Amino acid sequence: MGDGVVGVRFAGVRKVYAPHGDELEAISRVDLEIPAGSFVSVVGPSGCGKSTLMLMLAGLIERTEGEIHIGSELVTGPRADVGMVFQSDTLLEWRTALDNILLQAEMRRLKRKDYTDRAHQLLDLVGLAGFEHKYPRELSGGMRQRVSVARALLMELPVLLLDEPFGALDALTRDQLVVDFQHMWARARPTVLFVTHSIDEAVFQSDYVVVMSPRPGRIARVIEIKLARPRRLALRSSDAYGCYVKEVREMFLDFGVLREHDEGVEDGALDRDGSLA
Amino acid sequence: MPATVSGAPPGAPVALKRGAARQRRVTSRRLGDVLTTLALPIAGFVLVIGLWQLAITVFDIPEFMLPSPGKVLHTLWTERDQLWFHAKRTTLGFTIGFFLAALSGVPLATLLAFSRVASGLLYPVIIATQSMPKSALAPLFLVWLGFGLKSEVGIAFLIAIFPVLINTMAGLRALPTQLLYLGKSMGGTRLRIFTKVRLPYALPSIFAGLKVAITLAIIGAVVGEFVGSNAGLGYLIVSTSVNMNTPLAFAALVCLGVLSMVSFAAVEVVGRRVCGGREGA
Repeated sequence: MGDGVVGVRFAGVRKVYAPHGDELEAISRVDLEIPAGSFVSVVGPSGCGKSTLMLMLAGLIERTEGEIHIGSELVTGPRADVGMVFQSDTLLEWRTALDNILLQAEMRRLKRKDYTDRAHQLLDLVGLAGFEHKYPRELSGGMRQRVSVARALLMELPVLLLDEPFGALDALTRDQLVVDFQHMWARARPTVLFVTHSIDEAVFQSDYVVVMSPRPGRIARVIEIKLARPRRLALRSSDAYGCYVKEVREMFLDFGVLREHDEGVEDGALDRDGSLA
Repeated sequence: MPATVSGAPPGAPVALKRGAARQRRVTSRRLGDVLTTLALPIAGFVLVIGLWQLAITVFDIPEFMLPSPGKVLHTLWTERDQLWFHAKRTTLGFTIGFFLAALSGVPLATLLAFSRVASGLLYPVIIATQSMPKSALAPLFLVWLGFGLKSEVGIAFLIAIFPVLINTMAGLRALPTQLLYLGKSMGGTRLRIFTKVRLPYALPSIFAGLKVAITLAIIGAVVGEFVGSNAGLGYLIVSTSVNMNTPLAFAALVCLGVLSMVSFAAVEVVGRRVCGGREGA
């Protein structure tokens, strides 16, 4: 799968924050191997260390224990071969859409003009042709996030990390961006780690869904999503899809992250067909 | 209700009337904008000047205590050469002081924002110096830098640098962590992240500091002229007050006001240009 594209490996990774002496274990132990070129979503309750995991992979924060490899390389500091998209679009307000994308090249001391064509193509691809010279304040939330996705794609990096990239958007915009992102991903197939709160978003896009437990975070289960690609929105009403979603949701019920209020029903005590017993 | 059965014809004029009302509302809002942005301030000035004139006639205030607005205006014209000469001198003093403050304040703030040693060493000293009333230092500047322009520039500089320092430091430190992460993940070096992300991010804050600095620089220059100079609008005010030439003192005050507003506007315009319409500048 995806020859020459780097895979990612976490081995015994632990993270303890100790800002004022009080230790807070964010991640207790994560072992995970991500095949090169696969799309992996990480779902879990708030504060389970999803973002921490991602920042450690990018080499932006240090891990307390364990090893993280990208391909054969041990992560020891900030990685320039990892593209990032954050929940807030992190666009620079003083740069136009095009200039925001080209920041990638400028930061790497590469010539802007060598990347201008590709930047235009990417804007086209994310549906923002004609918005090259607009400033972020002139764009809607969805458009801003599209620019920030295009920016992450400029250098054709082998690994992409997205931390709840569409979390702040309305449901419809969100669906559209998920569909568009699938399309873009399928072209170059980088290894993707996609952190999300949305079970739907995770199942729809991924090859693997990594379910994390509440803090201290560890991997509760890795679910392989064996649904054919390319995936269409209609897939969401299929039985196979529904089973995967239910599987993840039941895990959340088990954790007590999702709770229901009917008397006499224990957490997770759902019937096979998903209705309450 | 027969009226509603044959409803359409009476409906049309109603809609038209509604449209007309909306039209009127729009026009009146536009009128309101003009009123608040232009007419009201002008009316305010007219009112104050009118009261000023009224007070002089009613209470029979002698000219050496409070000259009439007309007299001040007249003096502005008759003494224009002298006022122009002194205004140029004041402008020279506060401009040099302001630019020195801006050009040394921004790099110094950068050093303080990045080096723990530097900020630990210098920040308390700066705060301590700033907590002293700086006009009280004016006589000392006379001792150190001598009579004239150098002292004026020195005081203007000392007063103006503080807001530049504080605002630049605050702006540089306010960079959201995610933007820093973003820069690092693009392989940016510290310097590159500084020039491409951190400094531009801080610009609105820096310009907010510069706007305070320019008005303070004028105050500093005038205080310098009060204490130890033979030129400048500050000097003119002191010397004319002593001679009871109050109309000229008032004319000099008007010049200072104009200088202040023009230079503030200049910094504002440059700031808007540089910051590209961002908030806070």
